[in-house]
Amino acid sequence: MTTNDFLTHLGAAIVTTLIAVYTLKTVGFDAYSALFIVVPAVMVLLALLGRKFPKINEW
Amino acid sequence: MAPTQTVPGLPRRSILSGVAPYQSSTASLREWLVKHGVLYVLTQTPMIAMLLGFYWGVLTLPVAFLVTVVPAFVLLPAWVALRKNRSTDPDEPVHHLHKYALYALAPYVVYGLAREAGYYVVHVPFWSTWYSFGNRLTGQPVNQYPSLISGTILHSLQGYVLALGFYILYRRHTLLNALIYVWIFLSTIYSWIYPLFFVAPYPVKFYYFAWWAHFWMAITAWYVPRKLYNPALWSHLRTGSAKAAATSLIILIYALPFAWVYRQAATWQFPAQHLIDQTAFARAKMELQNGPTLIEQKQEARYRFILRFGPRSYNDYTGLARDLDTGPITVTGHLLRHGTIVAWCSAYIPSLESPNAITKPAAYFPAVRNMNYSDFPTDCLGPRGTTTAPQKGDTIQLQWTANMNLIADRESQLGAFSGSG
Repeated sequence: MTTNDFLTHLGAAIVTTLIAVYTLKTVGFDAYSALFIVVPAVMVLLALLGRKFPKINEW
Repeated sequence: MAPTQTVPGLPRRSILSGVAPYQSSTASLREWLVKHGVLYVLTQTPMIAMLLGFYWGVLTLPVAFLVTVVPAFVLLPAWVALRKNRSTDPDEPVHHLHKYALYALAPYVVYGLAREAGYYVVHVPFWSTWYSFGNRLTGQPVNQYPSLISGTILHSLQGYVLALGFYILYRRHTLLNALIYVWIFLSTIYSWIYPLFFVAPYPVKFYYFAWWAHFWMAITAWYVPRKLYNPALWSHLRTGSAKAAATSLIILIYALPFAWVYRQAATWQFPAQHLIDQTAFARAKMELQNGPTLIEQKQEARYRFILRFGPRSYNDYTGLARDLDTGPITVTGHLLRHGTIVAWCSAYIPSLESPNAITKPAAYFPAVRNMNYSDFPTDCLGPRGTTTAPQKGDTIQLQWTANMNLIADRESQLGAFSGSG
């Protein structure tokens, strides 16, 4: 995965983290707001996998 | 030997040998902004307008479009011309924008088809928001064709620029990148924006529906540059008529999601709304809640009675709880004592308080519950005198009639109520 693409994923993960903070503040912690906590973690994990194992990102 | 990539007018450059020399993070950020960021923002102005003017309500939607999309029509070509002249990086998106613009046509169509397939499983009438888009942009009433048509255009534009954004942001349009951005990221944004900023029912199936459609959008965003616009595919079509037939088929497929929605609106939505609206009209009653009570005796005697209208709540075709709206209400009547009129009553109410114009879900749903029944007063005036003074064993009889325009989801109807007490 190119540095540009990896950092773009990180940027998108930061946006979803901000969404998680906003949602936690406005609706509190429930199944709905938990989604926005899980998502950035999954995005970063997948981006890291793509960076670490370039074959995954060849398709 | 390393593979090379060429762009007309630019020197050949090795992809694998393109290791950038060390540069500070500020310089890297600046480079990213120049190559990807500005182009991304300029192409995403329809989404920015929707956020500001529709979901967040910072501006009205026409104004939001005026200050974002309209300037972008000038700035985008200017920026593309500028970067095409200055850029020496063959990977810079500006050199491939014409291809990306073509690629971005397909993902939204597949997204639409996926939602239509999903509709038969979870039955989410997803096009209901299109009416609201059109209504907020043009002022045309919801649940009518004019707002549906303008809303369809807006929704298509959103889908198109979101897919275009993927091609601009990423250097490599791989399956993994498409899944992370188009599927996971866009589904997350969708799952966040709607329940918090748009009034609609949000059962679990709504989330399934959103993630399902974005998944297929991601697959298409990845697949399109490889296959659909691949010259090898078109080279199989040898004759002009075969190419024309293929092009016609593509246009037909592109039109299918819209045609399906318009057919559903005509054959399912409008008849369903007719049934719902007529049931809501039939359920709503006007009853005497209180009075008449003598409230003042000066030069004239003033009585007051309270009428209660309701139940107003009904579920629309999407399952959203709404309250019947009312047009002007006119109440007339009189008070009788021993068969003689002692006071005349009248009231005019332009409309009852309604939750339906509230756009924030947090305020909307409590308001719907609170306004299920609406009380409003009517005053009666009559001459002061012995005939109006209450005496032992006296009874005052009220006779009233009320006329109003009942407004439901799609239809309106004159309602006439009367009573005595």
